[in-house]
Amino acid sequence: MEPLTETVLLILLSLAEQPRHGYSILKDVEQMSDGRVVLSTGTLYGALRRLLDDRWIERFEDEDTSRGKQAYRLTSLGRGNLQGEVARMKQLTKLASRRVAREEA
Amino acid sequence: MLLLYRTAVWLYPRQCRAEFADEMLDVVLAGATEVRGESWMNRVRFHARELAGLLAGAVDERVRFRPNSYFKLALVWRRIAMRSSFRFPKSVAPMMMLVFALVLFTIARAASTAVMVSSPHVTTAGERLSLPLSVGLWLGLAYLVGALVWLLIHALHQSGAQRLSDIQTWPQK
Repeated sequence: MEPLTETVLLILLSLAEQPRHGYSILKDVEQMSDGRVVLSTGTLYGALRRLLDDRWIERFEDEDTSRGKQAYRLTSLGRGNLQGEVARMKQLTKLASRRVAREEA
Repeated sequence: MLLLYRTAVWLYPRQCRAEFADEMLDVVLAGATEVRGESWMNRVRFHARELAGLLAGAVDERVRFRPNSYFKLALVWRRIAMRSSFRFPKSVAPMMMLVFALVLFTIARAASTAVMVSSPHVTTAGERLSLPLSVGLWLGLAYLVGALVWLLIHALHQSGAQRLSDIQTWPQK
């Protein structure tokens, strides 16, 4: 599996917490990155579409809203892949910290 | 603005439009409502970002729907675009189109001037004398447009040097 792009990773992290609508994902990504990553609607839906095609996320009708908005949530495949990516990043961070510490010593 | 957004969404492939168009417009309008009370600069930035995003998304989806055509070559572009630290600013596309339009316009002007000079009997002495001035004016105008574009990009913190300095190579503790 190729490393995830930052955009996709942030979208998955947003959905890892709870199912969300499109606009809610946009705001959460912006908040998570302290305003550094501001997605446009086109970018968001491009990424969502790819994730839907790969079955990492699924779409469902949110009955809590009066307008019957579509919402998105992680599938078990998506959650597993996200956990794999986080583990890969942890390993990389650990390795980098070790190497940098050795260089400084 | 709504008409512009509808047009941009209309550029998506039909299947994609049927599935996502209403939802995408809802999201754009929710964002537009939120920035309504903000400064004009923020509003311009928001609308420029959304329009550029929708147009780029439409091109991207069209490429995806024709995986075996020559459009496949354009997939290389995605490798650059998906890396947020290294992709070209989205403002480059409209700027390049503006520059291209200016070049075409200048060529057209030059062609008409060339006809006038090559047929001096149909031009007046005043018109012949104005050629260097005309060329100088066009060069000056092109330089001014370039400077304005650079100033705009700089104000948006999207110039090459600014983007390069913003790259975080490693998370800060």
